[in-house]
Amino acid sequence: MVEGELLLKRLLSSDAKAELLTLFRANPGLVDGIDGVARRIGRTRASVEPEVEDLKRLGILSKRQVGKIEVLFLDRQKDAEVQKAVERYLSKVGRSF
Amino acid sequence: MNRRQFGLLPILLASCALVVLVSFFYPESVLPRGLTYVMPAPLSYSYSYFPFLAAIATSLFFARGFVKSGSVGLAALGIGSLVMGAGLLLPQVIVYLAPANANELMGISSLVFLTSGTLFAAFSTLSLLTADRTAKLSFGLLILGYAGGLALVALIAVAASSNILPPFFMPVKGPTLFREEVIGVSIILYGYSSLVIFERYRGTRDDILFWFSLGLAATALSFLAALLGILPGGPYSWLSRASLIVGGVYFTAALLTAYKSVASSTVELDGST
Amino acid sequence: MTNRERTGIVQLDEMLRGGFLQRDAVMVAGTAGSGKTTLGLQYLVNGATKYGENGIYVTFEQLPDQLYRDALGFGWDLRALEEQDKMRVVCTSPDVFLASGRKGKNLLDPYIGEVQARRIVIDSMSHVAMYVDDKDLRKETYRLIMYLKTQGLSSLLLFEAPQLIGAVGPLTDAGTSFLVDSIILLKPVEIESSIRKVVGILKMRGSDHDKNLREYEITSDGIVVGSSLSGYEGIMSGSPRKLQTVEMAAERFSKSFTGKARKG
Repeated sequence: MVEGELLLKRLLSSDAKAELLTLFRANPGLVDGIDGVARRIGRTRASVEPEVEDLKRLGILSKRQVGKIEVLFLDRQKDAEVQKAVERYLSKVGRSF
Repeated sequence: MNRRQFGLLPILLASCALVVLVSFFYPESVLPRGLTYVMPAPLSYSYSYFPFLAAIATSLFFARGFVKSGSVGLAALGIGSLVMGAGLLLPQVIVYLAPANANELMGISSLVFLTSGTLFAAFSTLSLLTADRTAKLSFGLLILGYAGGLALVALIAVAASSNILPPFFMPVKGPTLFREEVIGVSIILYGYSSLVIFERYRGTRDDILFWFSLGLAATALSFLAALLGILPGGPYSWLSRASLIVGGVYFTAALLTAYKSVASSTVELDGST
Repeated sequence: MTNRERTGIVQLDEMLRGGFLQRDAVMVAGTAGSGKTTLGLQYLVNGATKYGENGIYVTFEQLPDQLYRDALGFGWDLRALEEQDKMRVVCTSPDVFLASGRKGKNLLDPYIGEVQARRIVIDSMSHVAMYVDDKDLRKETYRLIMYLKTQGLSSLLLFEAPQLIGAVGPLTDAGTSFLVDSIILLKPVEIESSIRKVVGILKMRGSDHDKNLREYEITSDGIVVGSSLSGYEGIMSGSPRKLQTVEMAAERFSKSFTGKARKG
């Protein structure tokens, strides 16, 4: 499986993950704790925690410490790289039809 | 036109018809002398007190409006109202202060009303030519204008008492042709102003204009009755006085209409929500 | 003009005698829909585009994409300003905001550095207050204000006034009005069966200011402040009454003759 295909599968593995991606891409200035992020997409912390971890592993979401709270924010550079990889994959798939 | 407006209008129209009809069929020269009543000297001009107050109040309202808007037309109306008010009271003042003959008193009244009529007609003509504000003038110029109006009245009084004007009244003969010409022109000026303002009322349906135009019409009727009357204290003399008082009522109605429209918009909000 | 942070809203700057004083913390109190957010955005956009003073908008409830959309309605392209590093829109939660600065760097430090910010808007302090115990509210507010001043920021702190109509009650619960340098009040009033908005400067430390209440509108170009709401009294008490009825009657009377009267 090529990189783009893998990325796409991981990015769209759940509704919650898609909602998180939509939230952060539409609001690049969002920097919030996981509770706040969950609240903004109408979900609970428990339901988004695994998805957040995966996005952190992908590098799309970064973290930093603000006092006692770990806040999440969009790593725009990494997110742009991931988007490019997915676009390359999709354009290849498109040409093969 | 509402019921209240319609109810009062016939009084004016009936008065006009009465004056015209009666004078046509019964000139004063043929009326019995017993129908006359002359007020005793100190009170001879007491009928003018109420119209005087109405005229002064009107001139103050116009002054306020001028200060706010700078409209030259309003200044003309204000000075006209002031001069009219002065013309109403001045004869009474003169009678109190010094002996004055009928020629002087008639001259003062006639010329002062001519002046105020000219100012009303000037506004009416201005209002036909321009929409509203014509110039932005300072409060100082307003004071100057009003003072100028009063100065003009004083000048007329001085001129009348100095006998430098043509005669308005001749003993035995009565009012002169000159006086009738002056009064006639005043009737035309007041009547013209009344019509122009009434026409404005028809466009805007503003009750203030309705009452004010009636006030001018009643004052014109007063002049007409004075013109037709020859007997001191005669029916036309009393009709003239009554019309003047009715005019004061109409002017007051215009002022009250404005007051009520503002007072009724007072708002009280519930402070505790 | 020196030492002044102009809002770019002409009449408002006149009321402020040129603008806010630099590094002042300004409370903007108003009810829902009074235009606090619009004022805050306009302050930042004008600062960035007209006066070379970049800024940060901190929002707790409204997401940035909604702000971008609302701002476009006034012709303000916030995304473009962010791309030009003239502005940042930061969305976070009040608890994160409060935790910031206690240990390590403050949440806003990177953003202040990125755009070299001179202005900041916090929308709104009322949200922050919900996450603080009453006994700590004044202390936390003081800490925030001092942080912003230390960073050289001129701040607008938006507060939600709870009462829609009626008398102006206490603007905040913890005496915050004593901590800020200036207070601007945005208030809707009912006059002649219509809702009109008035703006007033209740306090301005260290400067003269216009004592009159002025009417303002939210237009397609943002907030426009008009003339003084003269002829009324008791606006702040919630019972506006026309001043000097006779005077107003005289003006109404005269208007009939200048052709400005309402049709009957």
